[in-house]
Amino acid sequence: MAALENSIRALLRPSDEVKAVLEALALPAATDPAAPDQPLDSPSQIDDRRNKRILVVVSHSESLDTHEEGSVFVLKAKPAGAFDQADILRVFPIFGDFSVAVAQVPPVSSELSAAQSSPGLLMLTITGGLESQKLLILRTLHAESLRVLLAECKRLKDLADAPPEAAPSLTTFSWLAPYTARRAPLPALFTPEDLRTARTPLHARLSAAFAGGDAGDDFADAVRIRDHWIRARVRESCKAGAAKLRIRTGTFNVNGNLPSQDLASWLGRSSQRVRETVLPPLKEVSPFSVPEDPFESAAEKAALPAETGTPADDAAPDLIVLGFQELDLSAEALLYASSTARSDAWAEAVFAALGERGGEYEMLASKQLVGMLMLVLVKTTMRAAFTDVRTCAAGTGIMGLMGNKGGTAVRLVFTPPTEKADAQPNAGTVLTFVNAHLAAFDEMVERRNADFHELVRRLRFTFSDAGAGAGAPPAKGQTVPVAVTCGVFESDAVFWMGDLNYRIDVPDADVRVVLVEALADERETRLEALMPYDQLKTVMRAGKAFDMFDEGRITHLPTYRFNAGLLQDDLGYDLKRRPAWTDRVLYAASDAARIEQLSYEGYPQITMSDHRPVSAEFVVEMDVLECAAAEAAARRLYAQLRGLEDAHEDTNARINLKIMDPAVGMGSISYGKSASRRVGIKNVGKVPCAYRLVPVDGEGAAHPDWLKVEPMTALILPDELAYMTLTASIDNSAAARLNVGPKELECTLILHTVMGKDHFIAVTAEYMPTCFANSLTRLTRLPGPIRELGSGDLLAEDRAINAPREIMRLVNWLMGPDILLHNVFVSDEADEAIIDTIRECLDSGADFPFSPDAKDESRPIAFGETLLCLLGSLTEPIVPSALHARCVEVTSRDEAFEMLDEFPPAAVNVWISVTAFLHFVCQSAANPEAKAKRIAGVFAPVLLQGTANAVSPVGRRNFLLYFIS
Amino acid sequence: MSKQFQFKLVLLGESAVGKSSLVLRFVKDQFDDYRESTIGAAFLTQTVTLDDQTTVKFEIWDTAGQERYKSLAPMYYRNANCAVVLYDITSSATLEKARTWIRELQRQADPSIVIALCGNKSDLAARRQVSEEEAKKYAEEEGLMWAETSAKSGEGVSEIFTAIAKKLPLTAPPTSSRAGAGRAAGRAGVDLNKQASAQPGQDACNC
Repeated sequence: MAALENSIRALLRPSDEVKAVLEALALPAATDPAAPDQPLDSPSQIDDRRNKRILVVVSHSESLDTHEEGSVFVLKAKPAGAFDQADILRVFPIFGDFSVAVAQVPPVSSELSAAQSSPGLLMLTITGGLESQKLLILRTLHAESLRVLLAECKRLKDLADAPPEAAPSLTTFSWLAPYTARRAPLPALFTPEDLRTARTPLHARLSAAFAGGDAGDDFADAVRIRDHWIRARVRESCKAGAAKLRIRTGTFNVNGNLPSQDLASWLGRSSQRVRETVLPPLKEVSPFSVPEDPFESAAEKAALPAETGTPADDAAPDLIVLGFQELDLSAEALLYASSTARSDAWAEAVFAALGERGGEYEMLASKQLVGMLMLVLVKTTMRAAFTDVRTCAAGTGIMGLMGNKGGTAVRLVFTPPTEKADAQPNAGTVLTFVNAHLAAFDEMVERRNADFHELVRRLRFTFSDAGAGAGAPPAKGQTVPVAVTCGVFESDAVFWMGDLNYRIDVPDADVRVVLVEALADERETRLEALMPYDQLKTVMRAGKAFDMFDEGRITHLPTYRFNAGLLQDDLGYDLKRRPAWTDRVLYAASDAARIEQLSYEGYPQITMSDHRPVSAEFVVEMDVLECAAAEAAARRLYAQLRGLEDAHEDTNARINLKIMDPAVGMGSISYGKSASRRVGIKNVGKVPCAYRLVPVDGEGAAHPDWLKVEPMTALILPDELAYMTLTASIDNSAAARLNVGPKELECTLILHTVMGKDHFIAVTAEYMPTCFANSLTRLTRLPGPIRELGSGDLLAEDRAINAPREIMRLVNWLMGPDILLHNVFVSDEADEAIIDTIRECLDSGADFPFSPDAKDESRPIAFGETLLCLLGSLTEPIVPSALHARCVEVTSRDEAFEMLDEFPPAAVNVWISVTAFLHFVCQSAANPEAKAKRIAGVFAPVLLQGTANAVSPVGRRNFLLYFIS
Repeated sequence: MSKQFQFKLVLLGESAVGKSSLVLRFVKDQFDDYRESTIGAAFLTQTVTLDDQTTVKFEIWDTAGQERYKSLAPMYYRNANCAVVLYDITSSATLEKARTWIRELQRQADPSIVIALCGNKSDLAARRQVSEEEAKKYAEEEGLMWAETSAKSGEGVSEIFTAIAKKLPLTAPPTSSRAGAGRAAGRAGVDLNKQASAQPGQDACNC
C-alpha cells in the first residue's frame, strides 16, 4: 500500500497530497447502472487488470491562509508504480452536488464468495463535479479503505460547503486544471482578447516568477505563451490579403442647440478646408436644405487659399461615427431622453451635410443617453459586412448615475466580404466606438479619470439572444463559452471620442498668448509647446486613465470655450474659461487591426455651440483570414506543440534548451550609441519548449536599464535555433548613474525554461564615460577630458574651472569665422553621424575634425543640436528649479540681470556665455526680434527645465528674451 | 495514513566537483563520463522512503559552481531545508571552497538548515589530497553531516541522502512541509515565510 501511495504521489504536484487510496473495479461497459444488483460475471473480470481502478482522494491548499480543497481521482491501475498523466481517467472535485453512495452487493456467484472471504463486494456510485461528467459506478472489496475514503470525502465536502470564514476560497479548483485538461484547450481564435491585455507585451503578462522557482506558475505561463504563438502563427500563415476600412469619426458638444449650420466640413465634405484665422459670424442655415456651399460666404472672407490634398472627397468613408454631447440640456436631470426629436434633427442634419452622397449611406445604429448621442452611418453597399451591432450606455453624472455625464457605445463586427460567392466565410473584426462626456471644470482631473474607469466598468454590451454561437460576444464564436455581457475593450479596435473635458495646466494668459502666436506662424511647433501641460496627455503618460490609447498629433486650436457675447478675447474664446482641447478622439487596437490616422481637425467655422466640432479620420487595416482555414491551421499548430504545457515535472528531462553563447561581451558602450549581440538558443530536447527571462528576486527587473532583451519570452520547437537580441544603450538616467559609478558593467540574465531549468547568460560591457548627463559642478571640476579621468581625481572645489570646457568648446566653434548660423537651432534635421563625432571629441578631448566651411550648413546645425542636448542632459537645469517662479515674475532687463546673483557661479558663467552667443545669433538674423522669440522658445524649456511646477512657459521664455533680444 | 514530507535541498560547491553527477546518480542512477558545466540551475525531485509510513521528497536545486555566478546562489538556497556542499577529494582547493560555502550558509541561510559536507570522487582515492580525517574533523567542529561519495560508482550516494532525510524534522504536519511548493503547481503570491515559520518542529540544532 505504501508503495502504491508513493507512486501516486509521484504523479501529483508538490502542492497536492494523497488523503486516501482505494482499489476498486469498474463495471464492464455493458452493465446497466439502473440495475445495481447485477452480479459480476466471473472472477476473471475481477482479475482483469483493465477493470482495475484506483480511487484517490487528493487535497490541495494554496497556503495556510486558504482552506483545503479536495477531489477524487480515478486512476487506471498499473502493475508497478509509475503513473503518468494519461492514467488519470476521471476527476471529481468535491463540492456542490458531489456525492458518493455505497451499497452492499449480495454475492451471487458461489465461486466468488469462495474466492473472497471478505465481507463481500461494496458498490460505490460517485456523482457530481464537473459539468458534463456522468456518474461513475465502481465496486470494491476493501471496506476499511472505503471507510477512510468516505470520511475524507465527507470532511472535504463539509469544508467546501461551509468554508471557514477567515479563509477565503482563492483557488476554486483551478489546481485541477493540469490534471483534468490533458491539455489546456485551443485558444479561441476569433474572440478578441481584452485590448488592455493584448497591448501588454507577452512577457509582462506572465506570472511573477523569479530565480529559484519559488514563485510563478509555469503551467499557466506555458499556456499563455502557447496561445500567443498559435494566434500569431495562424495570422502569419493563413493571411489571404488585407481588408481596409475607412472610418470617419467626429465629436461635437452642441450645448443644447439644434443644428443651425451646415456640417459638411465636419463630415469631410467641403472641398475647401478653411484656415482657422478669424471666426466667421454665426449664420443660420436650415439643416433641411442643402445649399451648394452654405457657409462659403461666411468662411471665405477669412479663408486663405484652400489647402490641397484633402482626402475627403476622393475616398468616402465606409463608416461615419459621430458622438454628440449636451444634445438636450433641458433634460439634464433626467435619466433618459424623453423624445427622439433632437436626435432625429441631428441625424437629418448629418445626412443633409453629406449632400449628394447622403443617399449612399444609411443609419446602422444610434444610441442616446440624455445629452449623449451616437450615430453610426454605413455605406449602403457595405451594409452587409457589418453584423452583430450592439449598443449600450451608462450615466456617471449627478449621483454617479444621471445621464448629464456618461457615455454611449456601439459595438459591431466587420467581416470582409469574400471574393467568390462560394468561398468560406472570413473571420470578423470587432470594432467598438465610445462617445463620452466626462466631468467638467479645470480642477476635476481626478473626477474625469474616475469617470473613465467607471465607464470602462459599466459600459457593457449584452448578448441576450441565447442561441449559443451567433449572438455570443465572439465574432465567430462556436467553440467559445457564451458570455452574457462584454466590455468595450473586448475588441480588436476601440475608438473613444467625446467631450473628455481635460484642460491645459498653464496660466490662462499663457494659453492665449501661445494661441495668438500659433495663428501667426509655425502653428504646429507652438501648439506642441502646450502639449506637456495638457491634462489628458499627462494622465495618459502617468497611466492614470486612457493609458492604453493613442492619439493623433493635435494641430488644430483648442475647441473650447467660445462665447458669442462680450467677454471674449480676440480669437473668440470666452475670457472666463481657459481655452482647452476638451474634444478628443483616441484609439487603441490589437495586432489584428492596424490603425492609420489620416486627419485630426477642428472646425472653427461651425459656430453654433460653445464648443467646436472635431473630426478624426482613420484607415483600419485587417488581415483577411478564412475562418475554416485558420481553424485548421490552429489545430495543426496545437498538435505540433504537444508536450509544451505538460505540467509534470518528471518530463522536464525531455525539455532541453542550449544557450549557444552563455557569456556575451558587448564591448565598449557609450552614450547615445547602441551595441547589439545575438544569442542563439537551440531546442535540443524532444518537446517544444518556452523560455522567459526572470529577475533575480521579486523586486528587480529581468535586465539592467542599460540592456534591452528581445524577445523576453519565446517558444522554440525541437531542433529550432532561435535568437535573442541583446542591445546595450545608455540613456540619460543610466549615464547619470554610470558616470559616477564603476565603468565595468556586468549582469547575469536568468533565462528560465518553462517547466525546466534556469540558464545563466553572463553579459559584460565596458562603459565609456561621457560629459553628457553630469551635474554642472562635476563638469567644472574635471581636470581634463572626462575619458581621461581616473578614479576620484576631481579638482578641489576651490580649483574648479569657470565653466565646463565642453560647453565652451561648442560655443567657441559656433562663434568661429565662416560659420553659417542661419538654420542653427531651428532646423530639426541634424546629422546623427556628425553629432556622434562631436560628442566623441568632447568626451575624449580630441580636436574637432571639421574646418570652417562657409557653404556647409550641416555641421553648424549638428553643433547647435549637440549644445542643446548637452545642456538638456545636465542632471540639474542651468537655472535652479527653485528660482523658476521668480524668474517668470521679472518685468525688466535690470531685474532679470539681478536674478543672476542668485545662480550658482558655474551656472552664471554658462548662462552668460550661452545667452551672449544666442544674442549674437539673433542679431545676425534678418529679423532679430522674430529670431529671438524663436530661439527663446527652443532654449527656455532646456535652460529652465521642468514642467512639474506649472510655471508659465511664456514667462520662462520672456525671462530668456531679456538676455538675447 | 502514511505521511510524505517535502524538503528543498540545494547543492553547492566548486565547479567540476561533481554536483550534477551526484544528482544524476541519486535521481536516475546514471553516470556520464562527460558532462557539460552547468550554467544555470536545474530542478529535480527524488523521493526517499524511510519506512512504511514515511517518505521524504527532495526538491533538488543543482546550481552552477562557477565563481561568476556566485552572486545568484542565495536565490537558490533561500528557503532551503538542507544543503549538500561538495568537494573533490583529489583537490584540497575544493575543500577550501566548500568551507567558504558553509560559512556563507551559516551566515545567510535559514538557521535551521541541515548541511552535509560530501567528499566526492571517492573512486579516485589514489589521487587523494584531502584525507578523511581532515574533512571529518572539520565537519564535527562545525556540526555538519559528512560522508564520502562517488557519483561514478554510486558509493555512498543514496546513503547520504537517506541520512539527511532522517535528520530533517519530520514533526511538521505534511501540509505545511512543502518547502519549495509551487514550483510546478504553485501560483504567484505563496507566502514562503509563512510556511517556514509554520514548522514549529524544526530544531535549530543540527548536530
